Amino acid sequence: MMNITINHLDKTYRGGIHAINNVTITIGSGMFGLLGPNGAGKTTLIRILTGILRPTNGMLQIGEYNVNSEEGRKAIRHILGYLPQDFGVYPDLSAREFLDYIGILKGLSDRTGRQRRVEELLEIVSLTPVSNRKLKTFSAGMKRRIGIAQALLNDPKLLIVDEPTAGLDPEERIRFRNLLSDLGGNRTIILSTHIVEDIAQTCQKLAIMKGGHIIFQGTVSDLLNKAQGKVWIVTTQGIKPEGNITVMSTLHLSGSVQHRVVGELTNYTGAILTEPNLEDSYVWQMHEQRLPIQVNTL
Amino acid sequence: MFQDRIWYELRIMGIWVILIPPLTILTFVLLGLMLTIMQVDHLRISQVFTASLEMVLPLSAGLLTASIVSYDTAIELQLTMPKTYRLTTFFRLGLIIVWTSCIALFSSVFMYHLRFWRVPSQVETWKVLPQFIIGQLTWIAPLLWLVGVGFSLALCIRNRSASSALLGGIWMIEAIFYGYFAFTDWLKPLFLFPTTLDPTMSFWLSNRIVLLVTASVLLLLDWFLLRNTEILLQGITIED
Repeated sequence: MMNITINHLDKTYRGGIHAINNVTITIGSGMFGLLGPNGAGKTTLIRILTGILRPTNGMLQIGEYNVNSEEGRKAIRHILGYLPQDFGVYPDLSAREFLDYIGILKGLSDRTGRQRRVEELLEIVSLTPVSNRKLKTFSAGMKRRIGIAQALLNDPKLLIVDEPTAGLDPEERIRFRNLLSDLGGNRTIILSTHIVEDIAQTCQKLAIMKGGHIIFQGTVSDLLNKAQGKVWIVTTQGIKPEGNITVMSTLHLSGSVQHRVVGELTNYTGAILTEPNLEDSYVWQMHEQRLPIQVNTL
Repeated sequence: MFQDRIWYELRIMGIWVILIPPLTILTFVLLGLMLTIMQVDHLRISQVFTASLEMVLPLSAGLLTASIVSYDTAIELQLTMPKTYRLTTFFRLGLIIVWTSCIALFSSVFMYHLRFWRVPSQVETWKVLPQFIIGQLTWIAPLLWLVGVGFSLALCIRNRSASSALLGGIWMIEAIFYGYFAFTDWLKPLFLFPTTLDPTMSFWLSNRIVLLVTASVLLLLDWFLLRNTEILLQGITIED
């Protein structure tokens, strides 16, 4: 069981760009979702968690390691598996060679053991039949699977995946989500994404980032509860519903138009209250929250 | 594991890292043969061969270094590895230097034996072995200097073309305006190619030592610059 404690973390890049402001979260074992639009500061937070970037202010503790110190950053590299958003590979290496090389960098010094681990992981990500093909011939989905395989080489206690399903087709996305769910177990997995569906299908707990702030943290059901009474199905003759709302979808039926909206309507005629899904709740949260919320321990 | 590591690093850097040094020497051997057939003055042929080791091989190593340090497709992943990116970069640099040095040393034995090697006046009266050994500074000093400068430029600019162009520019200035370097006191320590262009000069040995010291300082500086991950991540999005 490994807890990650982030306290009042700030990151300001050279040039005064505030990427994250006063972020405080506690993450336990299992899958944790980090959700937010592009530019919310997720990748910066992830890079601080992986020890790539140093925070400007604040405290970060991963398990027994203080990641603010150089020693802490060195130590977490041994327990970390990371799939970056911009996952670059060496195109002239085959999948097997790439994994073997990363295994060497991860300190798996015994050649036989390393090669056995590579074969196991190729099997897990279903890439054994193409393992001798050069990576430059791989599709985006196959590269992502190689990405997750390399992250698992050292059997990490902490697995961080940043936007793992971006650019994948629906089938690949589902396959990838299932793979992540299977890896849960005793390790901590942080899934950073802007795709609500990925979180809905895999995580019990999540945080939402916006403009460098955490605007929500809690369980999926907490987030769903926040949008209770705010999601409506409005059927009109074609006129758009009005109010402080976000239209989630518009369905043209014979003789009428059905809108799914989140927010406060000015006119409730023809509106039926409905159960929110996670996407509705996320939109409601983004719509409602302008300031960081009070800190809760998950 | 060490052999595996060498093999993978060479594969990642590309075949050119292996091919460029011997191809450079081969080109100059062919040029030398052609000049011999044309009965060109022996001194000129020696100058051409010495230039291959003092001027061209170090430039190729510097350009390879700039190219490899400027860009790594998997840099973000590398920065999370227990074997640090800093060590990986210096490992790659070591391979470039060692391989180029092997080719240069091997070539210099033949050039020296066949008297196609320009011997600086300062060591001309020395015995054969010390003369040959110290004579290796002909290529070692500019090799390390251009590698060090290429490394620094690549880290500061983070652009393969720009850092290579700047390094090439420095090389051309040294080659074209060598008179300024040979006769201006404060430029003498930075004269990269005295053996090829004017081996009679009296400051050859001190020049080689200054170049080696400068190269060491630059490589030390590069070691510290590699700690700055924000610089290394330039070119990859940081705003998210």
